Amino acid sequence: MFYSLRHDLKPLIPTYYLIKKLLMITKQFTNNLIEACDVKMKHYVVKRVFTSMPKKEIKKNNITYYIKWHMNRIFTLKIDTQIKKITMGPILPNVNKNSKMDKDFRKFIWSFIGSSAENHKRLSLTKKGVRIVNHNGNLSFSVVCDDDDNYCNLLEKIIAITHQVYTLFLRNGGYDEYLVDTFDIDLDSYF
Amino acid sequence: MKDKKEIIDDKVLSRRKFIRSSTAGVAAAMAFTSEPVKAVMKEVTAPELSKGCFNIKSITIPKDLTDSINSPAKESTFSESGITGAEVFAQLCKKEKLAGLFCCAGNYTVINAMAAEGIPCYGGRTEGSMAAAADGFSRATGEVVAASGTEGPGFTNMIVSIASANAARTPLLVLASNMQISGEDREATIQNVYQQPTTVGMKKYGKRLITPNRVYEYGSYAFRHLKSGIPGPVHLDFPSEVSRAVFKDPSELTDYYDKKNYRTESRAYPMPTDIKKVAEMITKAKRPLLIAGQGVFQRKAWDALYEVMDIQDIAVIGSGPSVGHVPDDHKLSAGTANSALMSVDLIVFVGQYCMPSPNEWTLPPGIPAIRVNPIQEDIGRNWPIELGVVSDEKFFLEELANVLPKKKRTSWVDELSAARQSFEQHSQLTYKAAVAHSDKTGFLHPAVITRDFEEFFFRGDIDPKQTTYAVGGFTIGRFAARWANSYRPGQTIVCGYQYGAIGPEIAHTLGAGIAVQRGVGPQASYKGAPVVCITGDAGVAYSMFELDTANKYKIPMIVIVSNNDCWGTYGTTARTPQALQMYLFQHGIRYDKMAEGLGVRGEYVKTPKEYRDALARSYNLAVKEGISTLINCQGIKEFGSGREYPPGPSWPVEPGRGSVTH
Repeated sequence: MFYSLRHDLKPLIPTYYLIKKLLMITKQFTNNLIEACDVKMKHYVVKRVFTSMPKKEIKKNNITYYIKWHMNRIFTLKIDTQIKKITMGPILPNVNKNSKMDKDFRKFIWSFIGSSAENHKRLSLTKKGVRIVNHNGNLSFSVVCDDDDNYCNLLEKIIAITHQVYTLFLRNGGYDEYLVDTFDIDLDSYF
Repeated sequence: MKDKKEIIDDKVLSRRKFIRSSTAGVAAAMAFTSEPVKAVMKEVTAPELSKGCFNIKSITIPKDLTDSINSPAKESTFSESGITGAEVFAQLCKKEKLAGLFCCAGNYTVINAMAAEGIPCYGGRTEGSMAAAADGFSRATGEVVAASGTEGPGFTNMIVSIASANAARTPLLVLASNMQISGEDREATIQNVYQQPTTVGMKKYGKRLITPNRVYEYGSYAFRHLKSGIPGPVHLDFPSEVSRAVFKDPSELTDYYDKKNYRTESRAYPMPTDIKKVAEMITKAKRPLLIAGQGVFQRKAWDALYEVMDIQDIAVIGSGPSVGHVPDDHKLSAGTANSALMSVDLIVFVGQYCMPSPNEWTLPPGIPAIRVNPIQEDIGRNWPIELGVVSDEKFFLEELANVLPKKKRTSWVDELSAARQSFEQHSQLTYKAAVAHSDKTGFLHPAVITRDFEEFFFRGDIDPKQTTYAVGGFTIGRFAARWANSYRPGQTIVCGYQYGAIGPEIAHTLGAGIAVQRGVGPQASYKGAPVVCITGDAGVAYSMFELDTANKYKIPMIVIVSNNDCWGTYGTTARTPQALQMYLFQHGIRYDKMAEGLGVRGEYVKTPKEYRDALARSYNLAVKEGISTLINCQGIKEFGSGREYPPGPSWPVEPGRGSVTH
């Protein structure tokens, strides 16, 4: 019987080694990606964008960075290496679903999608793979990375867009009450 | 000069003739009526003239005032009777070409000596607003100016303006007399105060003069600081033992020598290796942005800047307490190209004295930065750099223009243009909504006020480079940011720059107006033109009395007051209605009537048409007759709410037009 089992398993050995090799490559890729992301995060700390190195959590295929940033809030940057998706959120809390602000935010994010957006700013050529979610009033967005070599580039754009939400989008007018209610800002010094 | 069709009351005519004959400012204003301007001017008729103007017949300009202005200077000399410490100091200021002294009565020995010496002196209503006027003059010209107040209350009245000048890096010489050294710590008579500790943290240099024969020496200290490095206020206080000391021979004074011996005009020159590296970094970048800070204006480096911009299609934004050194109509101006800022891949700070931190500005996080600054120790503060260059701004730009290879960045130029158009579209939508709100409520929306101001002074028949103006206020200032055009250096005074004081707007405009009337520095091309002030009803309370000062010196001003019956920050009381009452004023206060009481015209408007007509009338009279007007634009506080009257005021994006923080 043992002889029979070994005989039955033999054809599977190349597949086993193939899978093992693939797993090793994936693990190596993930390790490389973590290293690249860490370097990126450190760059932002050195350039005084983030005041401290973000706390990092690795679970299975997910790398999560907890970034203390605008308005002293914690932003969660999550990279799912299996489905190749990067999610940033919650970018804006306390936004009612289907409210004007929710719609304005979506319009703002969509402005970085499609051929009308310049190549160096573009998140994606199509809306496919980009998702904007309002979960319990917390707005976030995610982008699927279409190219393994593109992760860091995409990460930079996502961080830049998040920065622009706070330095451009919120300053466009109409959100004073939101700023006071949500962030308790001092209107005198918000300039 | 007089229009034959005018039918004017004899008394009014004779007063106007008297003023016209005695002040050069009006003559300059009269000479200013160019052909395009005439097109917008209507015939001036008696009913219009009597509209608030000169109706209060008791208001006249005293003959003593005009006689005093016309009195010849009397330079002090060492003689048998000697000259005082105050006169020694005044002599020094004259030799240093101090551009003006702005004061209220007080520190008598010093200010009287300065007036006698022939330094242009202006006396106003409060020390604080006159110090702000000095600041406004300097922001419009880049020149060194002085402000003075009496010991104690006069000096402390200036504190807000000194702090504001410090934040704006204004080369303001603050002079305040003090009591006698012999009375120190005894509360002898009144008004004793420790002045120098009071201005700690809001000056570049300060000294209480205690040794009379060092008065000249300390004067030279003051001007060394005022005319070198990063500008800032210098505060000297004069005990009477110093100001009244008498000197019969120069040898009695220490360090009594010419300015070429006590200071240098030499400036730092960039290292060739640094210039080469800067040129390489800029050439390598695809979408560089240069921030032309206050130093570019102070050092009059705009021509070199334009050359650099054009060599490689480098986008530029002007920053500082006065802007216009990067004209809004330049194809590379990025002041309103907010949506293009995320594309920038290299930032070059030139003369940016008030440094932001990276998260405050709308630029891609972590982009490489170059900073050019005349002093070394500030480079690297707040914003980490790839390269720091110690250099005078003008020399740096001239050298860069010599080494920078030619390069076209067509797609970057196109992106900037598209971004500016997007900004303009947003502004138009805001205006369209504002007109609808005005029509619906019967009150004047701030966006209508500011957009129609832009239309009249920048898009009509008036040369868009002509009008120097000051803008401030919380609500109106934010709306004005959308339409605050500038096309030449020193055209726009950013009143709230970095310090955010509400209220200096009229005073800043007075100072700028004096600079324009005299044609000082970058104001020379438009000598004599009227100036404009945009302010809110909260701000008008602080320096409105200087309309009297403007009128007596014949500085034609148009003051536009956005009257929303409140402090603009009332929105912070949304969760605490008990607090709201502290933010509210009475509805419908007539600042125009108050202005008439100060001898200028007043107009009260509530609709867009009334406002536009008032602008045209006011401009007409300012140019033809040198008459100032306050236009009181009645609005409602709710116009400041984006929820009740969308879209609401926007916040200036930094870097960019309307920014007040850096």
